[in-house]
Amino acid sequence: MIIVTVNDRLGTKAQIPCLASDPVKVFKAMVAARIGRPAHEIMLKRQGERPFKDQLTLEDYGVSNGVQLDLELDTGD
Amino acid sequence: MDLHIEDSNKIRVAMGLKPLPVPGAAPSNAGPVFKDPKQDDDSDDEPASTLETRTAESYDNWMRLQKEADAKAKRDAQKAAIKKARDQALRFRQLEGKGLADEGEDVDTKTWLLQSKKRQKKIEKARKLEEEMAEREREAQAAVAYTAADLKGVKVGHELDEFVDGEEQILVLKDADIIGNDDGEDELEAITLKEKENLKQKLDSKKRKRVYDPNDDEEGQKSILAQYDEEIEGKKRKVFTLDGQGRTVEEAEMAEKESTKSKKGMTFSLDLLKDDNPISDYMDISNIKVRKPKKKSKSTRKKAIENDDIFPVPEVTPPKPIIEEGAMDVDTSKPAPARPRKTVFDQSFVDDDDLQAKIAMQRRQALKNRKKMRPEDLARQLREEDSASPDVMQTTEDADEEPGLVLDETTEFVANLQQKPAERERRKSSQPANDARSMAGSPAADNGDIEMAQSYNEVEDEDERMERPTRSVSADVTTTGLEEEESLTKGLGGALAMLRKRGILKEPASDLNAFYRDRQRFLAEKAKAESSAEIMARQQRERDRNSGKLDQMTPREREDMARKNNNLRDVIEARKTAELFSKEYRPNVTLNYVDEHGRQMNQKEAFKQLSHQFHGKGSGKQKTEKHLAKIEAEKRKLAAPTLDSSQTGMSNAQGVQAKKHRQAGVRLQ
Repeated sequence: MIIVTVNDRLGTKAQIPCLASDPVKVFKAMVAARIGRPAHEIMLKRQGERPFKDQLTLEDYGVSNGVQLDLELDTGD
Repeated sequence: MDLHIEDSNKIRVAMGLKPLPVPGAAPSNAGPVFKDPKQDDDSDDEPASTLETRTAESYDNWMRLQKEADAKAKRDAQKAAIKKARDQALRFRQLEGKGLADEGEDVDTKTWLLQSKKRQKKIEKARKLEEEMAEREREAQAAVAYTAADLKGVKVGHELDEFVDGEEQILVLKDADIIGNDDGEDELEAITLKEKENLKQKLDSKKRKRVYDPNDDEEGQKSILAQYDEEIEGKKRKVFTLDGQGRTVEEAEMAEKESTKSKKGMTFSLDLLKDDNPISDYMDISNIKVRKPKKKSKSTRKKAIENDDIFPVPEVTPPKPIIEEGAMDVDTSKPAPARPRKTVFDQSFVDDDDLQAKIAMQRRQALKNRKKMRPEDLARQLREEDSASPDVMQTTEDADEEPGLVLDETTEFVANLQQKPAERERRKSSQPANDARSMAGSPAADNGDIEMAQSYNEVEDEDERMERPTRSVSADVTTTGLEEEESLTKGLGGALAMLRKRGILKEPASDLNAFYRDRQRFLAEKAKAESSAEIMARQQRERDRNSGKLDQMTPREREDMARKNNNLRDVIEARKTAELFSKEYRPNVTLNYVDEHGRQMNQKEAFKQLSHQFHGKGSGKQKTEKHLAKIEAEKRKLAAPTLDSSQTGMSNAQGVQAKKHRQAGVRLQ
């Protein structure tokens, strides 16, 4: 189990326990449950990189314990 | 945290994923069951060999890390707390001890006073002890101290002269050779002096001194080939040894030697030549006795001059006895307070009282004499002056004699104006005599019959006629004060004179005539010599013919002889002519170049013209025009009358004239 920090740089910061093997989609659902925003509106990315894709797992993005991900609003395009 | 996990587990389950492992809860049956790591110690499969096992371990890892972090934080907090407590304790400990107010430990005033004596004693004791200690220390130091006596027999590797007075030098032990053939003695040297020495040596070596210096005037102790001394015997070292008493051993030895050593040479004083120095041509000042004038009179006189409103009366110096002279000298020797400001001016003038007195007396005498002059004399004198004054000619003549007066046209003009009436008067008075003289000299007087025929009236007319030319002549001279200009109407002579006056025609050089005459004489002489030679030749021929010498000869012989004679004669003649030439002939050569306008050219112009001719190419248009303009101007200048004032007014006329005559002068207005 790893704990990943999600931060939107606007005052919202959440620590989410998960498994490294979780797909990004599931992780988004957990984030959504925590911050109260629908999952399709959440966009996750490492700082300065392209957004995470739902089909891939956190492992694939090299996310490990204590990593911080940026949270942005996904407008769908 | 646990709550989150449970929540997220719910979500995960809903999403169809396996739940996260919950730390507190017992491992769920659903998931794979892991063996206890401790039990598995002996098993050969590694704890984290598979992904699954590693994942299972992750929670434990996390927990451990968490714990460690917690423990660390706790420890830090504890440490900080301890440190804080210690600091506080330290701070309070500094404040411990007795304060000023706490001292005396409850001693009341009376006891304190009683104890004061004891306290004083205690203080005294402490001080004494301290002093004793200091003394002992000093003594110990003195015992250890290193004095000049300790330096006895130590060598110093410098010359004594190198140590300048008032300059502190620190001497150190010199580096000794380890293997060396040193005698093992200590030697001192000053580092600064050593450096200086080295530098000097280096500079000397750079100088490239010659081996033999003829100017080097050292006394005879020089050895042969002294320049190799250093190489053979090694460097001579300048060393002196301290003897521990403020002197050097060498010094003492030297003093001893000096006293014993007998002097080699003879001493010879050069002062012998000195005492007959040349005697001065001037008298020695100390021999001259000057009679000092009395100071009192001087001071009063000076005061009078300074006041300036009083007429300076020469004060009569009281007669002084000659015996007093010595006393006077004494008087003058001490400073005189009566005249604080003595100027050179005063001294030079007033010093000579005797002379002043004499001069004053002479003046008085002269004044007396003049007063004696009688009125008749004065009248006569005045009359004489009167008669003298109107005669301007005389005055001008007087003036003429004086050096420095320049007579020019203007002064002449003024003189003539004044002269006129006087002259006329004189002429009137001297008319009869004049007439008589003119009668005697005139052509009219020669043929007397004509005059006889004339009537009285005509005689009168004649008289007038005689007067007229004189008048006209005088008018000729005196109308303007300036000369009339010559004109061409008076013939060739007039023209010549005019040209000369204007400076156009130069005065012919006087020796030009002489040259001409010489040349003529030379030519005549030459001709005479030639003719005489010819005559002689003819005579000789005649003689030969008459003597009958020719008759005996054949015609051929005759011809030969004639030729010989002719040759001989020619030789003689040539020699004579040469003699004549060398004696008399002085050729006078002048090169005159005349240009196409008929002007004389000077050397430069002539060269230019020749050059132009040679190259077939003259000056350009502009230059030619300039040249022509110059010639034109020259012509105009020559043609213009001398006194022409049309160009630049009156002032120019004289300037132009002066220029023509080549005179320098300034016109006085």
